[in-house]
Amino acid sequence: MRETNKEWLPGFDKKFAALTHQMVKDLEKCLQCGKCTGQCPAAKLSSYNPREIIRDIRMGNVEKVISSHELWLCFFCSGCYAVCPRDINFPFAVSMLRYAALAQGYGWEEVKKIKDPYAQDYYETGLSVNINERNLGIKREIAKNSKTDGSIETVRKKMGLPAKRRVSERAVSEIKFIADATGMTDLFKEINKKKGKPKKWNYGSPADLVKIKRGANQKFIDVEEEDKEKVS
Amino acid sequence: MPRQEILEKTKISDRLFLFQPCVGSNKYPGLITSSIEFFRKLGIELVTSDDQTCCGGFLTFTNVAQPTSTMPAVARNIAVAEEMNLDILTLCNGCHTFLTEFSHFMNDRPPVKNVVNTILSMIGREYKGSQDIYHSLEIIYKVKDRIKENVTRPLTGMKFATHYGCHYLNGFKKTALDDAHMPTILEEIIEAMGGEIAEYAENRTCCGTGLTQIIINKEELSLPHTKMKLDNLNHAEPDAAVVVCPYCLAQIDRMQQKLNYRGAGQYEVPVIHLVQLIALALGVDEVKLGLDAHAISFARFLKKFSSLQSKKEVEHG
Amino acid sequence: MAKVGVFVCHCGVNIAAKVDVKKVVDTLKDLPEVGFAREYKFMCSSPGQELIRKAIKEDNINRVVVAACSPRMHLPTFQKSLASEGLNPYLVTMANIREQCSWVTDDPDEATRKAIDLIARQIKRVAHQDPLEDIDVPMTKTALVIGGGIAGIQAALDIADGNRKVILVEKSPSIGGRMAQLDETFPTLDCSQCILTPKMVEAAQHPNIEIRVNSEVEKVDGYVGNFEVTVGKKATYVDAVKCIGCGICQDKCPVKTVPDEFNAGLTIQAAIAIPFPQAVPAIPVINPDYCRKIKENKCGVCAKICPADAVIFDDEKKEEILKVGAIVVATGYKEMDPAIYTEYGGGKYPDVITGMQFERLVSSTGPTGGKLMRPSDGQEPKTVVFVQCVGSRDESKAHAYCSGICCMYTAKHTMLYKHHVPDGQAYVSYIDVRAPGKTYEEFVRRAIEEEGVRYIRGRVAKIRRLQNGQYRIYTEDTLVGRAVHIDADMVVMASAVEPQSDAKRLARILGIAYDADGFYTEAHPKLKPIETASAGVFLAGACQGPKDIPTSVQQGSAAGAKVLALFAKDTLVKSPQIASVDPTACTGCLTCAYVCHYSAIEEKEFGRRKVAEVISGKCQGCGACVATCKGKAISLAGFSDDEIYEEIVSCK
Repeated sequence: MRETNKEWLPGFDKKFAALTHQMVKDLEKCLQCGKCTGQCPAAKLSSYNPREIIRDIRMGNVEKVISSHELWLCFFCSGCYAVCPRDINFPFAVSMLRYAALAQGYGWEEVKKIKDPYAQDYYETGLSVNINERNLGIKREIAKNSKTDGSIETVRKKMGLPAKRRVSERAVSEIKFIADATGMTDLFKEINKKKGKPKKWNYGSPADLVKIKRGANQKFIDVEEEDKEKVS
Repeated sequence: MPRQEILEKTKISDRLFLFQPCVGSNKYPGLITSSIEFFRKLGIELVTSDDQTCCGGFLTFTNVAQPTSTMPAVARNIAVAEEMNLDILTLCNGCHTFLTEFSHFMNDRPPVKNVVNTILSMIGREYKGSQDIYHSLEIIYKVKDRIKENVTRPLTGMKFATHYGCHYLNGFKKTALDDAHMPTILEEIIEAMGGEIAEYAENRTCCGTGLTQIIINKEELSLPHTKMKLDNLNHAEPDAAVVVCPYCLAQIDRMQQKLNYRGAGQYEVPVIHLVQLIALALGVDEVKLGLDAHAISFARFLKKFSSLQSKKEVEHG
Repeated sequence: MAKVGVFVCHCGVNIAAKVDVKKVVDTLKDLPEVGFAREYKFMCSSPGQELIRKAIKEDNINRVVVAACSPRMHLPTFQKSLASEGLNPYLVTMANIREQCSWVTDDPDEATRKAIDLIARQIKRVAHQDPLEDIDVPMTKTALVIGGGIAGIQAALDIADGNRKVILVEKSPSIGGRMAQLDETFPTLDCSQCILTPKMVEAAQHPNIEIRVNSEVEKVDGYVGNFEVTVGKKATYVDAVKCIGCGICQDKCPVKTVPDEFNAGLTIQAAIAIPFPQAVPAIPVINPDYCRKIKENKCGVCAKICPADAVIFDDEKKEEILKVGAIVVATGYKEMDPAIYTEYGGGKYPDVITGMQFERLVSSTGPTGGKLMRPSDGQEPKTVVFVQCVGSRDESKAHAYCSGICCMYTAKHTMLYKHHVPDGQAYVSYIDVRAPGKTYEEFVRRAIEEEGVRYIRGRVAKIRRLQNGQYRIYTEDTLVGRAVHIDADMVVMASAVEPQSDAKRLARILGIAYDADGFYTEAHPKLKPIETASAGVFLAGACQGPKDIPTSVQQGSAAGAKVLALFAKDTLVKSPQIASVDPTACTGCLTCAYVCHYSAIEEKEFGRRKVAEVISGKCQGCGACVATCKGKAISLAGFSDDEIYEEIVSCK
């Protein structure tokens, strides 16, 4: 699918910073050398391509990036950052772009998958990993190895530890307070409400994946002005 | 080669705050007990607190919470350690990344720090930024010689494949203790305890957890990736794989079971965290190592290890 | 009685857009010293200068003030205009109403007032200016060329052919530099030694050139036309006159563990060795850190079997002081050590080598006699990946600049590889291909189209050694947007071009500047690429910046031409604006000598006491001594106290 410069935002490089609340400002430095994609674990298994994402952002092709499924394929290994000759912190850019995507209504289905159970466990117990082993295969292996019923509580007791790690009531209530006061709880409710079918990625070229509506990028032009008001 | 300036900046106190990792406590409890036990043998006491919760930072990078929410949560955890005037020791690449990144962010921007402290003041806490946060590799490497002196069950004759994980060496590409591409500190620590290193080409490849990959795509990317790494690791025929992060531990350990279950091969390399390995070499009671919680059994490893130990006893009369 | 002509330049719109030049002229023409005043659009142009000449001829002015840009731009031009009409050239001064007025003032009225003020001061000042005569300084018409690479050799040959004497100083045991280490050169694929050796021999046999190998410049005193250079020759333990270059000593020496620098560290050589077969001069040198006789007083086999009795174990370092009139710096470059690139193995993988090492492996005088093989196991590599930009274009780890020659020499390497291993496959990993010279682009296309080399646009992310001895290269083919990995037998890294490790030390000795990357700084990047800010010191070759052989040869000839131009005059003409001491007023405290940066003040006897005296050749007219002297015994010609006071007093 041939792109046209009518879809690309003019002078977008600087305006892009507003999209991520001025946090990401180093994408102009990219040489497009390809070292990032060369070692990326997700790139070799899918159509995820960090270099192309930077290319699209720089050309003002924002809608394509934030509505894509590729944005959610990053492993966050920071291997790209480790090899980048311009020290561009790309994993951070991905994280910020995901927030921008959520703000535009994309990606809620992905985030929903993480919220339950991890975020929920965090809110209720202060720990984001539950002691209950849901994977029966793993539980069976542990049972075999430890000659117990395979639950971590039993293994802990066998080691001389209390069955559950203790998190004080004060701590849990503090977590709840922070979550409520800073909007985390509301965001969880928001995530719960969203409906949508998760996207399926394929091996095709990213250009084929999303059909961009004419003028779709236009709405980002005013982002900078809006954001200036918020920041000041 | 370790960076000398970073090594020099590392301070060893005789009491440190152990930041308990979630995956550690609830899946691999051996990490906590091993650390406490072996550090005690070295004269360092690790202190824990029930007020410490999940670091919270992980929620930011999975986008289920905004940084405006998670920053106070992270600051709260650091404040717990600050109240005890203790430097923090982390056992997990993830915890370390979030605690360090968020604290640097707040330290560099006083207005943000003030806002965070306003929220914390409502719960009677304050974040000062007064304490240092150390990754277990940094502290352990600095006391490497002390560890060597205290080895009672040398690892001689056992081969280990190392896995540093991503977030510590890659994420801190210029300020971590060692170089991101050819690090040697973990190898040096293992060799100081008598162990041998099994080299394999993919040693600096990500474990595959991908923070969210195992959840978002139901392992469609994560599984083939970890399989590729395991296949390469097995060429070197190690007795065990050594990791420094509980997420890596969970991934490499449990993925083998999943692959076996799907008939993708016969994977049986036991995976051990560095603190468990050091505890083993320093003679901590094997029960405390918590190796029973691992999906891949340590039976063969421990059998070979103890037979080598008794051989040494026979040799030395 | 001074009659000043005032010329106010518009400088197009640079001055006139802010400063009301008509008003300036009208105001100033009424001053008592002013005999003539007018404005003009471009004073530096031919018509502009003609105005000055006309005014001198017809209006009898005997002093000139040109109000225009900075004197650094065109003062010499106006001085020539005065001289052409027989007026002393030092009787013109300039008022800077551009950089110091119109360009930095917003309000036009303020700018006009300031311009009037600035020019009025210069009028008062120049009215008190006395005529000055240029000083003739005698010159030594011998040149020193530091560095015996192709640039240095070319400079030496051109100066020598111009009938002047040259001393060529080279640190290593032979001249030839980097070019001697190459196998073939781009874009002609000429055998490097075959085209270089004739020049080396010509230099060695030229009656006007003296070569000093194993020598380094240690100290430089003096000034242009009159340098005194201390050159230290290290102890080589071999008599250069007696030695016949047979090489028996090298064969019989029992110590064979010395790292061979000529072969880029790939092999070892004996403790007594000729650097390479075509060395000029072909005289061996003993390495005192490895020689058993020198360290432990054992062995001494070379001395025993030498048919010319040329080995002298009690050799010592010698110093000599050379008197030269000009210095050409042609010290060249070195290849970066890729140890910092840990993602490529950090130098620990034996078959991941640098460009120069590859050059030595395919060279018939190299460690394998020209047979291309993997250093690890001697096998012929069937798949080779050439990695570009290792250390260049990477400000995170190494250098931000582009090394300029690697795209071309990599294309050359792929062709050499295919000539050695016709059934092999070569890959080149690149970001851009830079092939700007004559027939360079065609050369690269030849590699791609005729030799079947596969160019992949994408920088290599990492290289890992596999269990079977091959290497896995991870990169992205960015032209199609897919991550790829290549399993290869050998990897050749185009390592960055860097200045020599002692470049900064030499710069300090010579008193020349270098930039942030360590390359020597020229006087002006566009228009004066050969001169440095220090008069009499010229640059040639890669020490000034990465460049290929044709450009280095061009710069060598350019430096030669500059030297010959300098020597073409009988004496050196020096500006008369220098300091001088009135011995009757001088108390001999010599504080002025203490503050002089150029060591230009000495003690002299004056009757029964001692006073200070300025060495006119060395003085640069900076004025530090004048400001320091409490007794006002020292003054600066062209900047007398009267002039300066007039200028200050007339300031509004």
